[in-house]
Amino acid sequence: MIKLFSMKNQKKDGSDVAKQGTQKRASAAQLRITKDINELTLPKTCDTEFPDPDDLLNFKLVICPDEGFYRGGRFVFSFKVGPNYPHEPPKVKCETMVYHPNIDLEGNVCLNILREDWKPVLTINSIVYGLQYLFLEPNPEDPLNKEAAEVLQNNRRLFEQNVVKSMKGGYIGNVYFDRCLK
Amino acid sequence: MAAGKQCDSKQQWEVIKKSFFIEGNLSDISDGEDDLALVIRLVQQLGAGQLVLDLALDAIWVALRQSIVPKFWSNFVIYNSQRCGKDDDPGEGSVEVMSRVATAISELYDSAVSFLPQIHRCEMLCEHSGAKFEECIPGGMMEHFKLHLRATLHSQMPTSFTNLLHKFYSAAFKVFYHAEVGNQVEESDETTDEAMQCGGCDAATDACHCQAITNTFCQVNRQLLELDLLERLAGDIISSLLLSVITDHVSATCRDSYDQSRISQLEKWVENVVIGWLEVVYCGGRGQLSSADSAIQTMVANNLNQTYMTALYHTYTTTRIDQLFNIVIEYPESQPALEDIRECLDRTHLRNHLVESLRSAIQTRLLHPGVNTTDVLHAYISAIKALRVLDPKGVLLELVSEPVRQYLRGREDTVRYIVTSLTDESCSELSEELLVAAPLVLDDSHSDDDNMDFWETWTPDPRTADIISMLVNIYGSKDVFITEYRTILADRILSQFSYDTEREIRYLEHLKCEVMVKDVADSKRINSSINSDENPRREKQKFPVSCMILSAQFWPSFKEERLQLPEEVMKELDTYTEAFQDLKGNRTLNWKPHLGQVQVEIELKNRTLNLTVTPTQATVIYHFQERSRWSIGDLSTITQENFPCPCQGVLQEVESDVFVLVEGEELGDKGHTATVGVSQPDIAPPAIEEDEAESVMASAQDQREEELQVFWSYIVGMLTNLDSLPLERIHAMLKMFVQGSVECSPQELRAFLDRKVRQHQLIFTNGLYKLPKN
Amino acid sequence: MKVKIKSWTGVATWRWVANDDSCGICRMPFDGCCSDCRLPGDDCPLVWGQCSHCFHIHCIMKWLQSQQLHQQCPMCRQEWKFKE
Repeated sequence: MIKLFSMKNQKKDGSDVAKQGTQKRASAAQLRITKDINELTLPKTCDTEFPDPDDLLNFKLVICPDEGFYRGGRFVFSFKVGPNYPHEPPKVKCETMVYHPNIDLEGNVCLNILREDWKPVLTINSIVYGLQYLFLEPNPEDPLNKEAAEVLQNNRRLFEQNVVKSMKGGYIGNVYFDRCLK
Repeated sequence: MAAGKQCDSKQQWEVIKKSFFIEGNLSDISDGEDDLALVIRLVQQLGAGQLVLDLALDAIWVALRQSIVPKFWSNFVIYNSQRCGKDDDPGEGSVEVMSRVATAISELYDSAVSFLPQIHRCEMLCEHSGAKFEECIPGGMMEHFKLHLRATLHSQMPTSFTNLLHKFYSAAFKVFYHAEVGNQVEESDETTDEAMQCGGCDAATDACHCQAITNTFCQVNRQLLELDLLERLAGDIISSLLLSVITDHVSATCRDSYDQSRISQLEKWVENVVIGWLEVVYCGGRGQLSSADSAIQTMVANNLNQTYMTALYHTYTTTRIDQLFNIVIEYPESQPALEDIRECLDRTHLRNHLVESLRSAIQTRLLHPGVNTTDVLHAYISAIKALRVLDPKGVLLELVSEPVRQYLRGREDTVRYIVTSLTDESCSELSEELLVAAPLVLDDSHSDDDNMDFWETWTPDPRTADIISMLVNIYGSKDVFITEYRTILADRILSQFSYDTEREIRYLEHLKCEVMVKDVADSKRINSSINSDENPRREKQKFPVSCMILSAQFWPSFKEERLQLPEEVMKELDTYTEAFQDLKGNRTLNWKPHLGQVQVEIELKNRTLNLTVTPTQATVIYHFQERSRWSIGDLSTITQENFPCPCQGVLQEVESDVFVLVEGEELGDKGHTATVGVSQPDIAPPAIEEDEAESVMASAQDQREEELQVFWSYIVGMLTNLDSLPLERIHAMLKMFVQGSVECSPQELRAFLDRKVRQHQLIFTNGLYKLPKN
Repeated sequence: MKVKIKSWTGVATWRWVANDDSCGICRMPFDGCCSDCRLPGDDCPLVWGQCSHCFHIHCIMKWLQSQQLHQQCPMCRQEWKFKE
């Protein structure tokens, strides 16, 4: 039930307009993320999931690459949009264990626009495309998973084999990867 | 009798038969304990105790069956045949009835009492002869006798008896009632004429026999009570009599008046009248309880008291529920009645009945085309307030008001009415509500909550839900309401151009309309700055231009119209735009050429008209300077505007869709006095204003239509590929293809498609929609 | 006949003269206001950078304040300088 008049009445001197303004209405981050989500045009390899449909600030992105090293895999990322969005980027983590030079085993993602190159004109859509690109073109420079980066740099065939092996579920070195094929 | 002698057995048997009333007559029974003792011993010697007891009792039952009871009932059978079964025959007055009943019962009582010695003998026989009284009746032989009497009476009861007894008790009650409360009534109500007649016994006052009736009545009750017959014969009659008395009294008390609480008054009445009378019936009158059986005393005090109080609550509540629709309508005057109902609902199980009854009353009395939307709304508001009294938790309200909301949603003028009432300058019920709404809702408990998520999870406490919210909630969401509200506010602002913003500003904030009101204030400032004497452009001006400058994002969307204004006007507006740009750097104006207000002076041959007209009208009349005859088609071409009908006051339609300027006063002579504007400057003739009744805003419905238009291309695509489809399929496919865009219910889609059918863009046959063949 | 217009009260909507419809930061229309404001126009104006990109003033100020090292335009990453 929506209540129009029971919200706290505006003080007459208007001294706390700004404070009340944010309290009554959706926060700036909420307004902005709503627009982002509404304007989201996902590539066909990506899909979003909203565990709580009323909470646009926390959601998941599922990427199922259809080409490249990671073809056939299914990778889940969690997005946490903070109250300072879009002045700060959302916190994105990879929830699927993946053998990838730019994603470490804790799920931290190395993507420039999630860090130093973030700017508020970017949108969730920009991040989705960035992440998708990460699976098409893993970048051995500035790696989070140094071993994987080294293999990619020195032996692409082995890297490809390792990726396939990890996605089927198995050990790469002494690290076990859960099966994540679609 | 020589009992000590040896008699032959036949003689002995005669003695025994006589003593125990076997095949004999009660009056023949010899008295005396001595004789009885001898006879019992004799029986004992003969070892015939059981046989004698059985025969003796049997004789009593036969006597009851064949003589006593038929004789008792014959009193009433005669009555029955005499009266030919007419129960309500007024021929026999209460006095006759009273005496007939009293005599019959007295007789019965005497007969029954006359059996007592015989019963006693049987008891003695049991005691001394070893005969066993087999039947397991607690209380022994006497109780057994009463039971037989009751059963026998019951089995032979004539149908008319109940009516007669009812008459008997009614008459007695009337006397009692008259004595108890009649005096007060007499003082106020009775005229002198009627005062000649006693209110209790209907006899002349000087021949009043109330006392006699009371005496007879008490005697009858005592006798019946002693025979344990009171409850059996009269119990139902008494209770049904009292229930109907309660019903009559309650409906007389509650008739058409809801402005007083009645419940404690009624409770007191039941206590005095109903319980008081029951005490008379069961205990022989108030104050004589000590002499009565304490079991009866307790029964009257507890059970009956409770029974009749419950009956009172039930009757009262039912009566009020029957009136509830009126009670609701008459709120707040009916507040006391509502409080009564609330109290009684806790003591009865009538909640569901209340909901059902009120819903059906609303359905039949309110929700039909014969009732104005205003009245439905007022009833809805009253219901909100009234049911809140009944049930502060709001559950009843929810149950009862849902059909009303649903109905109101279906009426096209509902939103407009609500909004108009809210903005109405004259203090209507709703705008008053609006004024109290804000203070009522100050809810400080959450005010210091800085949690950003609060706005999403917060739900209002149903207790404080105010009327305005309830009205807005007719639509389930405030969006529709706000859209319509803004439309109407926009119309209001743009038609008056001198809108007083003070009054509404407070709650407009909550309706997201504060920007609209601020626009009005800002426009005034900007206009005075641009039109000030210091402005260099002012000198070159042909006429002063002012503007209502709107923040488009905060206004409802405008109907698209592209009126081409005369060159001269455009130039002035452009000048204004430049001034605005100078004033507000980096901002410019988009004119809505068809909106506004123009003061024109029209110089005709023999008169001058000063009119306030719309830009469209001004443009049309302006073009008549070039030519005095225009067809609608030509006018539309140069002005880019379609007219329903141009200004009739100055123009005349000489043939279909062709207008000429009327230079002379011919029209005025024909009675169009309003067009003669010389003496009435600045007053627009009504004929000119008529066209403007329509809103300049796209209504909520128009906007919805536009949204639905999104579907049209999909539907055409579907039908091109699949030829024809039923509504359900189209709806399902739209849901699939047009995901996430516009929500649309099947009903809405049907309405949309049906409009397309009317516009010949679709064909509907056999439940299928298809495209017309080109 | 002669028609003389004595005064004209018109209706217009105002808009910012900008190269875009909405603010890249808050994504709200320029002719509306930023997410933190309730009143558009004077109360929530636009500002232009020398790179010619423009934003709601509140949006760009908030962004610039969060940038410690280089103050760059969120659109083009050129150094942000307010256009005079």
